[in-house]
Amino acid sequence: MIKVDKISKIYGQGPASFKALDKVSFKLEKGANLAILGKSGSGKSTLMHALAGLDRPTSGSIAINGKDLWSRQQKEIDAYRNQMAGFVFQDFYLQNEETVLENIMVPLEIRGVADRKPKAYAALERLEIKDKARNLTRHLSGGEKQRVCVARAIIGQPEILFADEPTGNLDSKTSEKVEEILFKLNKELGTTLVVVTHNEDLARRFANSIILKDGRIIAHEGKELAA
Amino acid sequence: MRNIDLLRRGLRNLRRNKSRTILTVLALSIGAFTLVLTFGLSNALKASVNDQLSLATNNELSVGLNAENKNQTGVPEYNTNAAAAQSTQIHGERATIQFMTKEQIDAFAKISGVKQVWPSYNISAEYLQLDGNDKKYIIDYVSEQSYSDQTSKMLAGAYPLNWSTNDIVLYQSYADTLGIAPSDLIGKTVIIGFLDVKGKIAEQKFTISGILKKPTGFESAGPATTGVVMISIDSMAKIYDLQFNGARDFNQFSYATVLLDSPDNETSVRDAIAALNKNYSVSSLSDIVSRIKTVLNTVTYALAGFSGIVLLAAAFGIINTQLMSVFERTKEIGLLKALGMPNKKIRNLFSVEAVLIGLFGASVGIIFAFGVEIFVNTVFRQRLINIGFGSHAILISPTNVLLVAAGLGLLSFIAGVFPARKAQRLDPIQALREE
Ligand SMILES: Nc1ncnc2c1ncn2[C@@H]1O[C@H](COP(=O)(O)OP(=O)(O)OP(=O)(O)O)[C@@H](O)[C@H]1O
Ligand SMILES: [Mg+2]
Repeated sequence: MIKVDKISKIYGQGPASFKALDKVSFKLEKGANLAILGKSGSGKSTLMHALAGLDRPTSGSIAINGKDLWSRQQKEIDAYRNQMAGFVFQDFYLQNEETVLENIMVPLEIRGVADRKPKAYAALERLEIKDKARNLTRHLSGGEKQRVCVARAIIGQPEILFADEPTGNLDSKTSEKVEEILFKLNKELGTTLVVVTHNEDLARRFANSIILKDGRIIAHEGKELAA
Repeated sequence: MRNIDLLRRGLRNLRRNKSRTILTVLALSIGAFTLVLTFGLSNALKASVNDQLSLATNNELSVGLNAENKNQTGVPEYNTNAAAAQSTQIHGERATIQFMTKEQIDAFAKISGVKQVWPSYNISAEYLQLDGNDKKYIIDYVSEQSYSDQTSKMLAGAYPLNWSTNDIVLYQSYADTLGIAPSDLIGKTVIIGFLDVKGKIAEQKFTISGILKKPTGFESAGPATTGVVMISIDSMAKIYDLQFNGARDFNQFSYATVLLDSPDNETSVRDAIAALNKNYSVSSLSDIVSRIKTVLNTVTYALAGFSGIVLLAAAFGIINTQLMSVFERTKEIGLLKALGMPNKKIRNLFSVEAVLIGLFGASVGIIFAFGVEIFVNTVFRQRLINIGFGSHAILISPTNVLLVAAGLGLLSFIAGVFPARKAQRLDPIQALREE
């Protein structure tokens, strides 16, 4: 379960400061799926980064399975990033000079797993790009790159999968494929799914949703969600 | 992250920036190369000093008597007294010393730990003549017997273990000049001619017991054509008596040689000599060896210092390379952190890369140094022997290699600390958001 309690994020200081999140609170059940909607600049990525242990909120608290996230020691936050949370970034952030395989194995490499290939191939199979395993990522199409990113996010079997506009750069057919995969993970493995999207059609497929505006929740719905 | 993966990742990053890595490695390798060669050269020189001088005796002391007036400047005043101060050389060092009397020298023999004492019989001979041969040859220098075993230097015959007044050892130059096989000369009689105190030629007969090889290296006093003969101390004394008994300076000696029972007695004997007269100056072969080594060490350190400066410059190369690497790989660092890589491991990754550069530099430099060692030692072997190097001009030891490798590893680690810290401090999200 994710419990967010009045988190705010202020960038900068003094007159130049900017409030990207303003006392955001909600609760999401374990294994649920959630869409975060909102205009550009409304704070969606900022919220995701706070949830995924990537960027510390200025105030407020986030509890994951009842345990406060941002009061943990850096070592535990690192472990949370590596094992509990999977993240599909808004931009791909792939190492273009390395192969698909090398790219997606990084989380396991960091975890200290020696035998990484079986899991890597399993993840690639799930994403249906096993045949690209030995290719350099820079030679892939946008849709393939996005699927590599998802593979990298799920290879460590995270409990929560965060995806920041995973279909933003894709055509409708490719995005459908990626969506299918995300929902399949949510259903089959019980992975909690948190997705940022602009796409209304996609948003409708989620059981729960939040709409952000100027760093505040202006609307929310869903059974597994409480504000 | 496992260490092996850290190492692999570091290697991969270095490979990706090939040209930059190679240039930095090259800069380091130049320093390593000169450093290893310096050590190798110094090793070879020290080894050859040891080689050459270990053959000579190391249990002899030379004792001279310093002139009273130590503050003497300019040319000393002429002293009609026989025991005048004289400028002379002891083991290559110029000193103004006072003649010693026979009695003073004999006093050394009573010191415990002293085996034998003899004065510097400064005799000169006129010619050498093989019995039954009418040609006479110059004698450049009459050497007294050496108490150290010279067997290894013999070309023919044997080095006398107990010298009799009859024994003489000739240098190879005579055999070469006479055109007689050295072994055929053994047992032959030679006549040594010298001037007696009245200026008349006197002759003395000897039996050749051995021929000494052409001296090489530090011991070669001159060209191979120098005529040197070696006779017993008793013979020296006898000729000295014939040559100087009646002359003004008879039995006044510039220095004496003290033969020790064992080199271990050197300190106690030196103390005892000093107790006799504080103006005695004592020098020994170990003095010279240690002086030569001091000079060698100084030169080594100076050369090593220059290599150190090269390495210091190369260290800045590492800092630069790694800083550029951190800037270029900001996104990668951000990603690794976002995927849960601890800051310490990020720092380690960059440290590993820096140390790898250092070790590559050391390896390349060391390999080239070994190449030069093999080349110089094989190509110049014969010439080296002739100029007294022994068979090696460069002698790189495993210790040198380890020292340089470890030193460069440490240097590059230190040089990598600052860039590594910079990488460690990057904020993951800021790094990722960077364009
Ligand atoms: N480091 C920063 N310093 C200052 N302002 C920032 C910083 N990072 C983000 N912001 C601002 O915070 C606001 C929220 O940013 P965020 O990236 O969360 O928006 P978003 O909802 O994800 O938008 P998009 O849909 O375009 O990705 C934006 O106005 C952005 O300019
Ligand atoms: Mg965003």
